[in-house]
Amino acid sequence: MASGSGAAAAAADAEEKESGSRMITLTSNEGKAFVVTEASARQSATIRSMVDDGGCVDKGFPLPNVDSKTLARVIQYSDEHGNKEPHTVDERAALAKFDRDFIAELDADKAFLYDVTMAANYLHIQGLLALTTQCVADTIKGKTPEEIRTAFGIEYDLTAQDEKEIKEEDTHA
Amino acid sequence: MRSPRRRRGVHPAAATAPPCSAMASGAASPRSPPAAKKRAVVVAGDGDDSDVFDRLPDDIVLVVLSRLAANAASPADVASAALTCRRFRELAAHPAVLSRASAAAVAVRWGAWSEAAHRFLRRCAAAGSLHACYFLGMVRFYCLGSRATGAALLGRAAGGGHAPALYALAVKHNHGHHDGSAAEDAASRFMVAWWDSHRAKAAARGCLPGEHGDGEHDDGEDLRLCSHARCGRRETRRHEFRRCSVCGAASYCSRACQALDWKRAHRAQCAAARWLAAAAAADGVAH
Repeated sequence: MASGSGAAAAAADAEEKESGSRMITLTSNEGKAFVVTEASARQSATIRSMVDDGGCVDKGFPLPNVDSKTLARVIQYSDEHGNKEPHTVDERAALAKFDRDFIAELDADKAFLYDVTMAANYLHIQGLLALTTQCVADTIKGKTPEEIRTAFGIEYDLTAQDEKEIKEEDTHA
Repeated sequence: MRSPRRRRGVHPAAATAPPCSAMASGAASPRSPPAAKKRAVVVAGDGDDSDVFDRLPDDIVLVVLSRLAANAASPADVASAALTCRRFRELAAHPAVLSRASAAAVAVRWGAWSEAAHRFLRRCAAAGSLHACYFLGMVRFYCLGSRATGAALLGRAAGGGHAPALYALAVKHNHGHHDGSAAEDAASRFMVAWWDSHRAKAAARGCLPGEHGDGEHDDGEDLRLCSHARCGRRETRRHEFRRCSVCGAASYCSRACQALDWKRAHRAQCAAARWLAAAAAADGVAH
């Protein structure tokens, strides 16, 4: 922003960003393109910083770590949260209901839930990451270790030595 | 924070297999016996026995576990997760998880108190959980007799804005004059059970209450418990607590406890009050 005209251009740019009218293209690792509003894309801190750095807005963003199915679901979330600013109580309630339904749907398919979690982590979408990790945490809560292993298909890898140590250590719970 | 060390196989990119197969098979097949040390490295979505968590990197599992700790309903929730597998066990001991421990997650019951529980609380407190600082502070100050460390922990919790810890400090510094809401919490329940058991032990040995051989502190003198049965605080020196000014038989750590106990029980027990009531009744009969 060295020159006056540059600053003006940046200001106009910022204004345009505010309006969220610009469209941004996200490309999944299968090469499928998704066109989203900028407001929606800015839910992701990763994309936000790339957009703010200027650069490749027109070319679109390749997301080599995210497949189409996952990306579509992530965009569903960020559209809901990015394009609508909740102002009234009703709107907030509607958004909360959307989150509940969204996570309930994901919860039914654990493997997909993890894909979405990974994508949220990669794209730095805090709200979505909080939603999915909380869902996993709630699944763990109130279960015995055996139940947790069954629920997530975790291999039992503690040795007899470990078990002995744990028995000595964790008698408080 | 990012440690890709655990990331296994490929990301289920464009997945070749139906994404839910791992989950479904995991739930269907009963676990093999503990002997299974070898961890089948299966590419996600491909095998029967693949661990769906294997696909999540450590930092996400840490977030999951810290959310679990923050919402835990009892210490067992965190402990169960830690017992699941080796990876969970390592991650559950991470300060990022322990620091988020909720009030319920550190509310160790008296019956489960052990050196290990103490260690768990210490680790949580060191990681920065204010709830752990408060709980451990109360237990150390009132039960274990480690006044200095207990007070320091309470101070740390209060400094972080933990309301019950602030109240506890007020009672400690300003006994008998503090009007606050004496919340009955896990720490109080723990202390009540602790002193109950000590009384029982002392009675079994046939000596005076308070003369247990803990060795950690000098209990020789006759220190009184707060008469509010659900408080569990004990005098730190003789004559610290103020007494019921009517009967002189009950003593309280604070005004709040006295007020609560009057409503709850002491109104019926206070000797003078009983005598007055009896006198009034006798009066009624005489006239």
